[in-house]
Amino acid sequence: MECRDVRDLLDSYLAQELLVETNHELLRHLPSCPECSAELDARLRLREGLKRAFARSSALAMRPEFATEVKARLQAVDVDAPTKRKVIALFALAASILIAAVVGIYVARSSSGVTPALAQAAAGDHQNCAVKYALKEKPIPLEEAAKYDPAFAHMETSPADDVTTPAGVLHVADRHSCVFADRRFGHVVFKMDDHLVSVLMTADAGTGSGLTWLPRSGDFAMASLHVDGHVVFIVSDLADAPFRQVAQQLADPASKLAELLGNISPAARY
Amino acid sequence: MSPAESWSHFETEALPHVDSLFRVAMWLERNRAEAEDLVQDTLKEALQSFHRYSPGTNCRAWLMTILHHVRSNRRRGKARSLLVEDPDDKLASTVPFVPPVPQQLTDEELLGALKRLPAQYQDVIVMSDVEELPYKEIAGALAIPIGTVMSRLHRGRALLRQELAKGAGQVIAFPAADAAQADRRRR
Repeated sequence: MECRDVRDLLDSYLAQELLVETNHELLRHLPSCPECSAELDARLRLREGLKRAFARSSALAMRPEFATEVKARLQAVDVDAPTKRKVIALFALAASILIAAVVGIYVARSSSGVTPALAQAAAGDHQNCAVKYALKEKPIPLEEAAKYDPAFAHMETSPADDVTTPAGVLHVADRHSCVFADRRFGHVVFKMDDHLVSVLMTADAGTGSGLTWLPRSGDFAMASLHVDGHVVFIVSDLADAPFRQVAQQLADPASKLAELLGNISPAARY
Repeated sequence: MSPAESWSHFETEALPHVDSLFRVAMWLERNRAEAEDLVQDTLKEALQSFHRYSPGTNCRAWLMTILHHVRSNRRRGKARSLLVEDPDDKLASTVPFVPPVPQQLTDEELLGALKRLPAQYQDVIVMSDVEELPYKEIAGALAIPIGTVMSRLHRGRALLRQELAKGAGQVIAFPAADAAQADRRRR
């Protein structure tokens, strides 16, 4: 191993990130090389110095009573209660699967005439699947999903994190990509009080259209927007009237959904 | 395990790390009330997920990872990583000169130099050198590839040495403790 290789590996060595064989090679080099040994000492000194500075800095110290206050608040926590994150994830998952099912059925119905009753039944089955976590693939970050469809990357920021609507303010709860029935969706979940509003996007052969109200599916109200090559669904457990206000606001340029639709024009797609 | 046993276990394993958690939270947030909220939320999440913690493993590292996840969830959408090639990967090889580390360094000089670095370098250096998190955990917490963690560490440490070489005597300043502000924000 040359000095240059050793210098490149010293930080990983200190972080104990090297493979055993590489570690051995590096350790064989050091005793015979004063320069590399001195460099190792310097990096170790810097690392230890930072650790010490953090541990001793009075500017970073907590208030003396903070530990007691935290402990008291933690003792009041219901350990068995599902965390907000878990609840959101479960809702998001359930919503995404149900919605994916509905979306899949909607697309299928448009081409093969599946009856609304069958769609409803299938949606119910898939909701059960969601509750049982019977997913083929776990949801993944949109950033990662962009390798399948670059349009998903735009859902990282569109719609915006907070959207003010006449029915209330939507706050983003999660952004991910999930697969159902071999169809990948980009999924942005908003919370509004105790309700969920989902924005889902998937590739679709349809052409551009404005906001279209779809038949309600069980507890979920739905609307769709088409651009060339993709369809965006807005779905929620809200009642029809507030849902329409929310969907109309989401479709407004201020929500950045329009920006998303602009970004997935055919030229940007593949 | 009964709730009482679980709490006792948590109290023994996790609560001794409140001070370390707070110091890192304070560094990241630069604001005492925000740091207290972050630590509070981290410990609450840790308590509710404590059944996933493996006794005998590094509890401090486990808590630090949760802290960064809690923080990144809070900041989601505000400081999102870009889906483009990370310029750090290219910049890492362009650090022109890495000066020697001065023999005598005060805590203030070290923290002052670190604070003058761009935030993305501070984060990885603190996570790796201070918190001793593995690269994989850092990558997960910051939602960046491991290669980017390594390139940021490489460049960040080089920049830190440059700052130390030129910045002797510059010290760090944090907002003074503001108990009233902390009380207002405390839940």
